[in-house]
Amino acid sequence: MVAQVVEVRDHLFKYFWLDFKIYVLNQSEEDLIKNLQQGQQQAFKAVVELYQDMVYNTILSMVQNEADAEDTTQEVFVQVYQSIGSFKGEAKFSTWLYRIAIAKALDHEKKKKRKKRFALVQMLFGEKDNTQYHPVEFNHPGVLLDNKERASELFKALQKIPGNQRIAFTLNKIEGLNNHEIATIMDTSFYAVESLLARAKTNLKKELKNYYLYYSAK
Amino acid sequence: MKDNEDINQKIDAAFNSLNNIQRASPKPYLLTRINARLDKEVKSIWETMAIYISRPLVMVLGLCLIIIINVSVVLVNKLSSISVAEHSVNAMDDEENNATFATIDNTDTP
Repeated sequence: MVAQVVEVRDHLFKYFWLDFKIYVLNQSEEDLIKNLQQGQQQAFKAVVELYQDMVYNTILSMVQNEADAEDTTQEVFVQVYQSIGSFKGEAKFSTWLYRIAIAKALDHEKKKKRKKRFALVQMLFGEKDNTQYHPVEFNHPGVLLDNKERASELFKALQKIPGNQRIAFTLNKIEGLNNHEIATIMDTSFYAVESLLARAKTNLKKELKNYYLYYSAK
Repeated sequence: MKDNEDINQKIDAAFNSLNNIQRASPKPYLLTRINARLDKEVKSIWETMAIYISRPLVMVLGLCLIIIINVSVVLVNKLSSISVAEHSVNAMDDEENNATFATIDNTDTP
């Protein structure tokens, strides 16, 4: 009996998965967006399945916390569902998604900073809850095991450089986008992106140097 | 000097650590959680309204509107009270004049 139920379940899963794959493969991005704008649930499902890793990975690299990244990814797709009507198709859909993801990640950071300030005020008034005040070390799950420690130090340094440089560096190094794509997402010129990346690298080197000097002196 | 070299090597290693990085994936059933969130957001119309009302621009405009309404009510009341007062003074004058004429008339008649 149980085996039969499992078989039926597997069959249904295979059927729906196949159905879904056929749905995605048979459509161009344009059709998918059109269907999403008409409120088709299947289209929304396809968009989430296709772009969830891209959105999550970008946000995770910026917020550097898996739970927060998951929460912010959900926010991004909720916004996509609610404001897909305003997507005119002037830029690529992925560009539009990247912009929303970056904006949400920056919003999240602002909220986090506000919380930090609030925690500081609480500490001044004698409250001893400083759990939010000291962030834990971040390990990106996509980094090779041998590189985990060095990558963690780089991510720590990444938090200390200005926002625009961090966005450009994340999109380039972690998402693997070229300067033209980054320029479109950030709504700036190719040369501005080049300059942002160069400054990001310089600042990161400075931060890392300070970090290593501090720990070698200890 | 050796320390400096060592640090530079570490910096290079940190930069190279992101080579061949794989994309991270969210936990399974993300769509289910997004749909649950969408359902929750659709239900809370009052919440949306509160967010809209608490926007600084809307708040300032609302405050200005309330002040304008208050000032206009005060001004309208003031104007109407002035006109009522004028009207009553005029009426009193008329009454007084009528009374005077009446007494003059009464004194004239034998």
